[in-house]
This record gives sequence, C-alpha cells and structure tokens, in this order.
Amino acid sequence: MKLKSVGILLLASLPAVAHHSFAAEYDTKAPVALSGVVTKIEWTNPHIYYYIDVKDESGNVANWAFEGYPPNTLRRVGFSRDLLKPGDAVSVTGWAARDGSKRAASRELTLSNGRKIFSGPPAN
Amino acid sequence: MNMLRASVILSGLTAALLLGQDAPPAVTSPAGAGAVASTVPNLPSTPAPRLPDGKPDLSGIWFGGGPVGDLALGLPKGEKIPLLPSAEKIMQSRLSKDDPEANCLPTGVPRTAPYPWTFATAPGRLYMLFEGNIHSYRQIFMDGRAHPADPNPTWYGHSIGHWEGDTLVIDTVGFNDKFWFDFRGHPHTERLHTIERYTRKDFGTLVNQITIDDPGAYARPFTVTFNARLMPKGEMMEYICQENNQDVSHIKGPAGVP
Repeated sequence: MKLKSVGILLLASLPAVAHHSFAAEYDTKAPVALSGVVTKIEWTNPHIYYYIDVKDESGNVANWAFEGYPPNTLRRVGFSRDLLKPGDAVSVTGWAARDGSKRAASRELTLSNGRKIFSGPPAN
Repeated sequence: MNMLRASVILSGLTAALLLGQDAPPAVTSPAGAGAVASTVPNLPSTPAPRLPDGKPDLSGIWFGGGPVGDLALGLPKGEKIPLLPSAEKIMQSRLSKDDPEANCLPTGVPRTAPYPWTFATAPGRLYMLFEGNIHSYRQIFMDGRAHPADPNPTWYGHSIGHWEGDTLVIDTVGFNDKFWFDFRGHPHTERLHTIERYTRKDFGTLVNQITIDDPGAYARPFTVTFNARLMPKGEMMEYICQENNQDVSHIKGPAGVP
C-alpha cells in the first residue's frame, strides 16, 4: 500500500494526539529503548497498547506496555491492526511512565522486517 | 447546509491538494493563535464556498478551533486571562488525573479535543458532531428561540445560533461547572456564558472567536481566538474513549503540564 510508504513522514507531522496531558503520565526526561517479543496488541481507544516481553542481561523477562496513537490516527495514515502480531520481534523507543510501572509512551517502533514507524506522538 | 455541494467541491480538489497517495502533504505551521492541526496540508487561500442562499458553507471535516493545552494561547498578544482569586485557587488545586477529558468526559465549550469534528444540519437545527472526547454532539437551535429561563446545567449547555453576515454566532448558557477549559485546568462556574463567532476565512480555515463571560470565575469578559483547519479528505471515524482508558491511574501531578 503506497500510503504506508509515507506513513512515517505523515506521523512525524502529527500533533500529540492525546486526550490527556502527556507529561503528566510520562517522564519526558526518561527515554527508554527496549527490544523484545510482542505478547499482546490492544487496538483500542483512546490509545493502542502493545506489550512486549523484554529480557534483561540475567535472563529475567519483564512485560512492558507501550501506549501509542489512537487507532483512528494510525488508520488515517494507512496502518491497521495487522501492524503487529504476537511473536514479532520489535524494538521501541519512547518515554517511561512517571509512576515507575513497566509502561511507556511509544515513539519509534522498529518492526521485525526492519521498517521503522512512529507508533506514538513525540514528547512535548 | 448543502453537504452534497461541499462534497463535490472537495472531491474536485482532492486530487490536487491532499493526502495524496504518492506524496506526503506539506505541513502547516500554526496559523494564528491557538492549537492548530499540523496534520492538514496547506490549502490555497481560495474563498470559502457558499451555499445557494449565499451563506458560507461550513461543511467539511474540521480539526481544532478551540483550546487544548492552554486557553491563554488564544489571547491577543500582551493580554492575560483575568482570573478571579477564587478561580486561581481552584486552578492551582487541580490535579492532572482529574481532567474530565482524561477521564473520557466531554470537553465542554470552547475546549476542543485533538480529533476531527463537523457540522450537520436539520431544519431549525445545527449540530456539531465530534469524533473524539467524547463521541458526542452539540445541538444549536437556529429557529429563533430564546434560552430557557432555567436550563439544566449540562456539559455543552443550551445553544442558540444565528448568522451575522458571513459569521455564524452561537450563544450558549446553561453549562455545568465540571469541564476544564484546557490541560492547565482553567475553571468556570455555572454562570458561564459563551459567544462563539465562526467565520470561514478561506477554504481551509475556520476562525472561531470566543467571548467568555463568567463573573463567577473571571473579572471581566475576554475573547480568545482559535483556528480550525479543514481536513479536505477527512472522514469522521468512531472513537469510544471509554473502551480502554488506562491513562488516569498512571497520571501524576498538578494540572498545568502540556
């Protein structure tokens, strides 16, 4: 789909589409960069969530939740829920939750085929 | 409002203007004060289309047109919001997690959510349909009636509208005091009275000049201006915020951060 090829450019220009204050939930001074395997996708409003199992150096696995754009925002630039599937190996950058839980706002998502997209808004 | 005519106009321009399949749209810079969608392309400053009766055609899918993060962004340069001390105290006590919008409740007036919206008409009625926060509508009576003497306090209030030249004027009272004007938590009371003046300045821009009069929270009436931008190839989509709202339990700190 041609739209997908320009998706990253379009998403780069999207405003912080959120129904809540970004900085009240995520720490813009706490960037995260994690890699792991997708365990679950919630293609829901008001935001999508995807969960990945992240293994640390000791082999311990923690499940992280990444918040993204609303489904409508992603749909408008050509992405549907088949963007991710359980079992996909992905890398994500974003910002950690302020409450210390294993949650983050997602920004750049690198898919298992190497393609990079913005799955969430920039920090403001 | 003549939707058919509008759609013909839009489809005629679509190929040349926007969200093309082969090229990303140009990105607009904020035009004028306030929150403006950067998702929509620059559109030529062609005149606003008109209906057969000569009125400006306001149909189409709009984005923005009210405060999101900070009401003060809509003020003329150098002006300050004339908060009464009691209102300032309320604002300072507010926590971000309690923002009704974060809790999937309506934005009220004049706040806008960062989601598309559109006008729809029926005889004697004008409706504003909102995709997001919440997936709801405002009803504006265009049949010349007055406000009721004792309206039920509601999130969107009781609205009556009329045209003044090329400007749609919407007068609203009967608000509840529950919604916030922005992420910063600018408050109001049930005495709030808003006058919105919508002018389609050109094809792609709908200017909303809003006078806020609330002697319970502000020392004097004041006016803010925000621009809505047309999403010419846009469509309204379903958005049910309550579906999976995980945010509130993780939101920390006072209102005021963007």
